[in-house]
Amino acid sequence: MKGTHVAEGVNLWTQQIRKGSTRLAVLQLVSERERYGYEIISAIRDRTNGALEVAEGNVYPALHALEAEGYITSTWREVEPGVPPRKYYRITARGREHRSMLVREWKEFAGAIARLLQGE
Amino acid sequence: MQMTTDARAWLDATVRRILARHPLGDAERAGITYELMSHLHAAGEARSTAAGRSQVTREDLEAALAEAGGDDGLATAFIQPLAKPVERVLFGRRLGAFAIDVLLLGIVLTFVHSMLVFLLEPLMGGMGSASHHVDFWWVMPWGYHDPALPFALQAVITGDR
Repeated sequence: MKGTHVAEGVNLWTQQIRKGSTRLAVLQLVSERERYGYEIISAIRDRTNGALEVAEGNVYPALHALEAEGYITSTWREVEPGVPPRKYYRITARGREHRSMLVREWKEFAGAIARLLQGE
Repeated sequence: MQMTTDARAWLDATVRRILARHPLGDAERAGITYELMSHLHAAGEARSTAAGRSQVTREDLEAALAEAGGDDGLATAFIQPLAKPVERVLFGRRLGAFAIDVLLLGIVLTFVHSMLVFLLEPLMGGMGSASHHVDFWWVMPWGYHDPALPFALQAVITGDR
């Protein structure tokens, strides 16, 4: 019973880390080239070997928020007649600046945690 | 990648079903319809490609929907971001809104009072307009008053009511 609570706590913590890192992951992927929503979800899963398996419920709200804040733009594009069009996202100059700041913060944070854990 | 006829019919029905549960404006509905269809098709296409098929089938789309957390999961992903957050309104703005409400209420009550006096006056035996404030005190929500009386006495009478 106690073990179940511990596992639930770890799951919650992992979910929060994933949610927090989704913004950076999305910005990184659209900074490389323009991509559509599902492609971003797949790329995050593939490039992290499934360690950062984010859900649609995290990625699409992040895309909406980033677009509303002017960090990315989107374009609907018909890929093939008779199938639904796809919304491609591309990073803006402001988005690149924001991404650089997030990367710097992330590295500082990850480094700090790594140094902290070395004391174990 | 093209979809089978069955897959296309299922996709249309599924997107309609998901959207029917959420009150949306026409523009938002159109945008989300495209986004939902686009996402489910892309996810179904990935499954179809992995399975070596050349068309997206209904089963591919059903698996894509299940992976996205079903109807609720997709609604969370696509519809909730459109919900406007509740904004905290400062006291000054609330006070301003209250003052406007009071002003409007005053105007409406004055108009209603004037209309009642105007309409009922002929029915009360053709009394002069100068005395309506005495004879029609019962239509005045703020109580009886007679301007002929001293102000202090009016205040006492009003206070008794």
